[in-house]
Amino acid sequence: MLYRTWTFILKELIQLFRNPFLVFLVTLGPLTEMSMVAWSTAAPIEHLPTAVVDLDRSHESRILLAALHNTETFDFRYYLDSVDETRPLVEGGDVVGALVIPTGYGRNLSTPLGETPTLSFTLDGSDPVAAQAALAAVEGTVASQSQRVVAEWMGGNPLAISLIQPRLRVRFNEELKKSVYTVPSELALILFAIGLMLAAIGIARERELGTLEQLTVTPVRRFELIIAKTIPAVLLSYITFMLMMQVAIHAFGVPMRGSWPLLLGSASIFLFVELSIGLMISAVSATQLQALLGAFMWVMVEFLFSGYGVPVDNMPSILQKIAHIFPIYHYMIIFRAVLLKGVGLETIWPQILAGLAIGAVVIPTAVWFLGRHKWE
Amino acid sequence: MNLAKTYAVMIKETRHILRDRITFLMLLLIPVFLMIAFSYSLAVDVKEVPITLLDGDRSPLSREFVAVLSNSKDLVVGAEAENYAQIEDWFDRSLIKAVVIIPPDFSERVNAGRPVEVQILVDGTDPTTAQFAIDHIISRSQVFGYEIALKTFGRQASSASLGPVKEPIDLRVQTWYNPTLNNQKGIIPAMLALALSLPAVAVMGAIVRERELGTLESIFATPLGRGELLVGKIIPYIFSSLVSALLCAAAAVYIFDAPFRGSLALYVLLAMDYFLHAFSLALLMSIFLPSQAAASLVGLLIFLFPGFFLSGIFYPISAFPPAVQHEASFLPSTPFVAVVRGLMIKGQGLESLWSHAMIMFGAGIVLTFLSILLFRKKIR
Repeated sequence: MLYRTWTFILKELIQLFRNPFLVFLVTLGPLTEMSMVAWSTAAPIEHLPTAVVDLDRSHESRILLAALHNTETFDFRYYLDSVDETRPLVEGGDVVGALVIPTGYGRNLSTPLGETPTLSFTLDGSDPVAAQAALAAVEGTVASQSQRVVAEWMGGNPLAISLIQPRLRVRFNEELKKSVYTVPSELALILFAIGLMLAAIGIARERELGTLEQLTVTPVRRFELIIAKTIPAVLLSYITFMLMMQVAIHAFGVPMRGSWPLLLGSASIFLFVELSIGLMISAVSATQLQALLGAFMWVMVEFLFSGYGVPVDNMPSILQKIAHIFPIYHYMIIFRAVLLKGVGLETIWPQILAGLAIGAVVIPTAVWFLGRHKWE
Repeated sequence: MNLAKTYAVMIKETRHILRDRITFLMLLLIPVFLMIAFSYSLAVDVKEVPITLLDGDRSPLSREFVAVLSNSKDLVVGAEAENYAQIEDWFDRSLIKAVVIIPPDFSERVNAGRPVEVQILVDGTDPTTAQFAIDHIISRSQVFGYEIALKTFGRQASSASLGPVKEPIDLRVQTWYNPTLNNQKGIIPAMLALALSLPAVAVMGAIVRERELGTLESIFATPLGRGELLVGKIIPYIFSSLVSALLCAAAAVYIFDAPFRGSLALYVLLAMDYFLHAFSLALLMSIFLPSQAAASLVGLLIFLFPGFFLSGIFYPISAFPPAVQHEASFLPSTPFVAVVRGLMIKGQGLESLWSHAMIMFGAGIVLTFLSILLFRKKIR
């Protein structure tokens, strides 16, 4: 039995490497992808194009603008002379917002008995992500300026106003780099997506090309064929994964504080589960295109629950419960915990158990499906 | 290029698509399903961040501070921590995202009017949530400190010349198009664009499939020209994708209450433009792909991942490094997201959107020509 399986594994590998383009694609494609993603999300949201109309041009207004500039959130690309000029810029999406400092701003702030000046900020809400960042920066800066001004009114001791001095310490991701969060998601996704897609297409391909029929007349058992088909998928996935991990760690500063055996071991468990799902998809697909679409859909849904875009904790609670069905949800918890927090088995065993549980359901089902469905 | 021949190819392809009912339905409906699923789950704002407190003082003042921090929907204080070991454990298990540590001399210092240091430890794993927690904790602390200081000053300042202290600066923010900064409304156009990239993957599969099954060879024996074959092949997909596009828009408006302030006709026109671009890109790729397996992977890499990430959905394009911005502009989904956003949310018309429309159209034409040129009627 081993000999037969081994022969078929060799056959699969030969077929795979006959296609160097595919191998090349599978290893380098995700790598470039991930690099782009990591590189662009390394920085917080900054340098958003903004317009400013400073009708006051006083010492105070300049202090305000300097403070806003220091947040690095804004790129004051447009210094305009009138409020009307801001309108087309906001409408056209050229700026994320426009700030108008009224005349008399500085004068009114020099004494507590003056009129309260009104700063107006027009915000383009069509891109909420940028808008929220801009809003937070503006509100924060105005708040700290307010405090400073009140302190000056009260005799010049700013500390008198802020009695509570927050001392911030960020753990696990000191610079609050978004890439530290998104890169692991992407990595895990690619690992599983490649494995799953290759597994899904594998059987469907042979069926469509008619070679499956020929295989059924050979002495190979179904089970051995399944193993042989999944080995190239596993191999490619691992190679890509290791490559990407190295790049992530050394080029993008994603920390790896945990143990490698734990990481790879848990990855294997989940990879097998995902592969079985791929096999199930290929068992029920009549053509490769169907398998492709089905696998694609599965990958997209897993994308969702990997927390790539938004952490699952922030999703509506129904979805959080549904997330438990998907292996990637559990794996991401393990992955992030091991990478960033360096935890050991004692902390993540519930997730591993969940993975094994899902596997216990999926793998027999996959084998059963492949038994039931015709092999021509 | 002979129109009658192209038409013939179109009819053949349409028959093929319809013959495989299941695939056709998948092609039509999966984009809608994906758009709904994504828009529902991704459009959430951070809220109810679990935090804990370590109160080293346990004085009436510190309890007041604790109350200020716990009294909100944004920060949820569960049990209070008792020691550092517990905090470590809770962090490791991701039970809390932040902890506020109140020193033992808290009330002593505050009552004397001296500043006191409050430590905030934050789990930086997810920067968005972390930043949210930080901002809220700090702003609440500052408000608390401010009020205590005013009370203190009120006691100390005997002269009434100060009067009631009011906010020195009045900030008025006017948000256009999406007043509540509802994340969902902003995300929907992007999810629409993303979901509609699925047909492009199918188109890629179409050519590759014929090559793999060997039927391409037979087609080469016919008098069909390259242009007629390629163009005829993608037209039926453009039509079915238009139906998907309309379904997606309908879902957006009726299920998610998204605004649709532009004209429907323009939407259809721009959607066709997008499909022209996306499909011709798919076509070009499919010439070089030997198998559908490869096609599926390339589809994943070129349409799904970047579509998600670089089209400005989670991270505004203006914040990307310039080189990446440049790269993002080559992807079909980037101009399309801008177009859909402009059309649906801002109600922009062709005058404002024409530059994006031209990019997609131009790219589409160029890529189609390129595909026709590079498509060799030879079997490798």
